[in-house]
Amino acid sequence: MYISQQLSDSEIITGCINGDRKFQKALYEKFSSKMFAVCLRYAGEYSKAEDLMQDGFIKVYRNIEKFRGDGSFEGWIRRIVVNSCVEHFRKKTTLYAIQETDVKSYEYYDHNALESLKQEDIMKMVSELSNGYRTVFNLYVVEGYTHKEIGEMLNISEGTSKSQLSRARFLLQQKIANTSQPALSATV
Amino acid sequence: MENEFDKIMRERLSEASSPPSDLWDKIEGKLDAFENPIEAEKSGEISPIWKYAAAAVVSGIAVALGFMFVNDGNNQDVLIGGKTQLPVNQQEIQIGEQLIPSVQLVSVIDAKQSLPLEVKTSKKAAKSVTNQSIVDEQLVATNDIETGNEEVNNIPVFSLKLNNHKTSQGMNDKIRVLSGEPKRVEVDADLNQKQILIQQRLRLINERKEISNKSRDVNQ
Repeated sequence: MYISQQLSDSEIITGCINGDRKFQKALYEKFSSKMFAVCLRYAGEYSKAEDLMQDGFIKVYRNIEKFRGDGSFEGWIRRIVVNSCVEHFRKKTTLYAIQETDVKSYEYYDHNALESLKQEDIMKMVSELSNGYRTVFNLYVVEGYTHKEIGEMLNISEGTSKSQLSRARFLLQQKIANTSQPALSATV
Repeated sequence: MENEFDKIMRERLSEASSPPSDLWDKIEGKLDAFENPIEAEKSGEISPIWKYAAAAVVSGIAVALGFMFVNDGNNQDVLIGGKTQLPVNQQEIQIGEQLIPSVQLVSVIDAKQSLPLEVKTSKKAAKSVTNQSIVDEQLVATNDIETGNEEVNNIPVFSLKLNNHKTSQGMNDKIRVLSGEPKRVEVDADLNQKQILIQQRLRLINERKEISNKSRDVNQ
């Protein structure tokens, strides 16, 4: 049994503030799986996900004394890791607005096709998106940020955020449709 | 109302994913690198960056000193500063019937005495002057002196660069220089023994000619 399973969040936080390596490792063991999934969604590839994971956890350890206890500890760690991923992406990519008329959409009605896919398959589809589509999709759909908040984070307009999300949805649905055999109809 | 597609995607993408087994070791390494500088400062150790900076500064100083030493090494300049022009006389030296063309004569001591007091002379210059033994009657050939005009702090400085030319001892020992405007300088006949012998022979030849001419006249 991992030592992290025996310790509470408050004990881990206190130990990390003191710089105790045992508690730092316990924190890593407790939250690494979920945070690595976050990093995989933003990175697009495995090696980059490792780098994002390292940077994210280092920031967690360096700023752990700033945790005030309002909200869950896991949510606080997730925000730090997500911000670290977004900051990495923002340095590399410039997002441009997409005309709404150019966005196509699928209307799928077979939920089984999506649910039959493994998590790795879906993760792979998301990683194949371009940086802009992938980041906006993750922030809106998975993290729950609004378009206004996404615009402030990425320094883009709300309209650009919406168009990026629409394009991401279309491409993912197209990929899912290509991997299954449901009766799909496409509208242009 | 949430899009159903988004809901399903969120549920599936929120599932955990196992990280690589060695990822904690990498994070621990970064933590050590982040924490160690603090411990190094506490223990009194010097960061390697400061060591490299100190080495670079010492190297730079050594190179600068080396340049200064090399540029100052072989300088034989005799610095004579001041607004006074050096006394250079154009003179011709006659040895027998031979004239030595345009010899520039410079009296170093005279030049030095005419300078304003605030002018500095280098130690090497003073040394070279004294070692010349001298003196105001020593002649240096034209091609031995290079005069230049350098300004130091807006004060004209005349520099003499003495080459390593040695004048022949026999030629100059008994040459007397007459000061003033360019003019002929008479030299003692006994200065050059060869010239003396030539003159004697010429005199004898002339006397014989006179004698033969006189006898011819008498016979006629």
